[in-house]
Amino acid sequence: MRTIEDCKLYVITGEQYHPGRPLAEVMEAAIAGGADIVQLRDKNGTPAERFAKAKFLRALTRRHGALFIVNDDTELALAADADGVHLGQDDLPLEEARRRVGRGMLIGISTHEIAQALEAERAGADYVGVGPVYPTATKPGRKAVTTSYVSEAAAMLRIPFFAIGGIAPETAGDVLAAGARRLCAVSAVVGHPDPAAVCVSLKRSIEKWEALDAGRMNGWTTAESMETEETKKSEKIKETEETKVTEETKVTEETKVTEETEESEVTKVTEESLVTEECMKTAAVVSPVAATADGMRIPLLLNGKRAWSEASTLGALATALGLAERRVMAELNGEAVPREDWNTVQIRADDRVEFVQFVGGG
Amino acid sequence: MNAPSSKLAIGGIALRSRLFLGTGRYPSPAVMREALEASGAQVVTFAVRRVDLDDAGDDPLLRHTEGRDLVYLPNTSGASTADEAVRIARLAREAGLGNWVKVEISGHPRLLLPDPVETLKATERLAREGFTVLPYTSDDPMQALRLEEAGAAAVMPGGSPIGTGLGILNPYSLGWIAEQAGVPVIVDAGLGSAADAATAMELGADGILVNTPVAKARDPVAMAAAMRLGVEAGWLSRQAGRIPRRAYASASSDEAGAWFARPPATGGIRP
Repeated sequence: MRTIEDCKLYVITGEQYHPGRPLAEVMEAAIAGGADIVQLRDKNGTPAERFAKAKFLRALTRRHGALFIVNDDTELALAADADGVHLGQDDLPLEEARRRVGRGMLIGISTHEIAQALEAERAGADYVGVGPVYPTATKPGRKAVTTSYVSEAAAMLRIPFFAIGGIAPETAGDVLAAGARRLCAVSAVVGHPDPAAVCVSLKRSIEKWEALDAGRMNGWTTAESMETEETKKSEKIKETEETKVTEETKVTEETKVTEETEESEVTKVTEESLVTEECMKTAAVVSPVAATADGMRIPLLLNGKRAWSEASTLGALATALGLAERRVMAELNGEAVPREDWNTVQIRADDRVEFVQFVGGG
Repeated sequence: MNAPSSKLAIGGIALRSRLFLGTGRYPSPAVMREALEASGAQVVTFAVRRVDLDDAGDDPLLRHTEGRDLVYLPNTSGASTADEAVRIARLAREAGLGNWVKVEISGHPRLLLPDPVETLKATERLAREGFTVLPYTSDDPMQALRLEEAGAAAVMPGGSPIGTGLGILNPYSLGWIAEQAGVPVIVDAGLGSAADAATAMELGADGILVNTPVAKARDPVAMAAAMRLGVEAGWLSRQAGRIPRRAYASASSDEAGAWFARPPATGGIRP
């Protein structure tokens, strides 16, 4: 089973955001798009309805290898064999919840300021929610904490934290730039006609930033060597974003985990959503830790692993990898590239590069 | 040592040997090289795999084969769809070692038998793109005909599942394929010994492909030589025209001039 550390994208149910669409369909799409954790948040259902949903989501997440968290209700979490329970500041104290669910179950806590997060960490929380980063319709009374709290959390917390509240493909860049490496979304995903595409987009943004975090090794590195989860908060980031506009979507704003019941009227904000397609984002990073700064670093998928390249052509990348003199073949985004074109073929962000060779076979 | 007239030609190349040799699973590259020598094979097969970027050693295999007059037959193992097989074939062609490709599309992880539908699609597409396509197929005579129609330069039916060494499980079907095919038939997969090689050739195959039975034999180099001889023996035997199988014995010497009494027709039982 995956651990909480492996989880990057957290999606919470919000059935008020998809009237007329079954919960099953929406959450399955979210998981297909890359949601690592699904939380059941249902303040209005009867116990029987909530139990049925929990059983269903438990089966769905198990099938796809995602984690399943129940909001607020330790009894339901236990009954449904969930992976964890999530609590707000006014819910059951963490110690009492731990006593009920035991050590084997994850406990997450909503936090709105760094003191709460540090306390949750001290008390044994497995993760915290940090937010709401932006104003949300789900928590109308709650003041947005802005990205400054995200930066504080990134600097001070040892346990994983998920930025939440107004998280959408449009805002993910700023939240990640502030130091978050895990995101939690509700309406942006479940209120969208194509939840899977939104998840893909969010996941891709996260992975891009993870690639930028990675230390340098001959101008490239793989996800393997990224284990040192060291977020560089001192970087100056310049981003250019080129968004692809799909249809107008109704984006209603965002959930913060747990707490108070009253759902207010959902405000409908019309937005251009950026979803699917190669939305290219290149970030020029000036890093104080890098010996030679300023190099363009291009995040890519190299032989199936996340990596980044300072080389901007396929030929230069091959040279950096020590493959220039070898009889290897190269593929860019599924298309074989003749050797004579290597030096002229440009690599762009998010390209899929494969270097292959002949090996023994029958 | 076939007569020149009996050379096997595929994709416009007249081959000096009817034995195709795989290059996988040998104890060492040196043993592979010696086995290749002993087999007399001209066509050698390879797989295409990702370079290990964390351990970029030198070229594992080509160093041991380059500089010889060989025909390279990369396979598409690892593909489970036509699209994947086409991608592998196009990559392999970029190695600059010719345009032959063995379409190998596995339909099941344990059986490793080819997926007939995807194999047909890939064969069609690659033949259109100008590849010399040798599809690995099950021993289904109809599928073999379909592949030929799709533009295969040769068909490669399996004797039994890859690596099993079970030999030829369905000689009847294989015989049919050999009889009906308008392109060369190379029996590929499942052979276990020189006897199987000879049997395949006697059934009418134009050649065989072996890898595991040589690479995993106790003495791969000796087995490579045995395979070479088995193929030649089977081929000559097929050309020579074997006697029909009969129900009853017929003595090799004439009856005339025998001077002892014959046993009764009832054999050893006295009346």
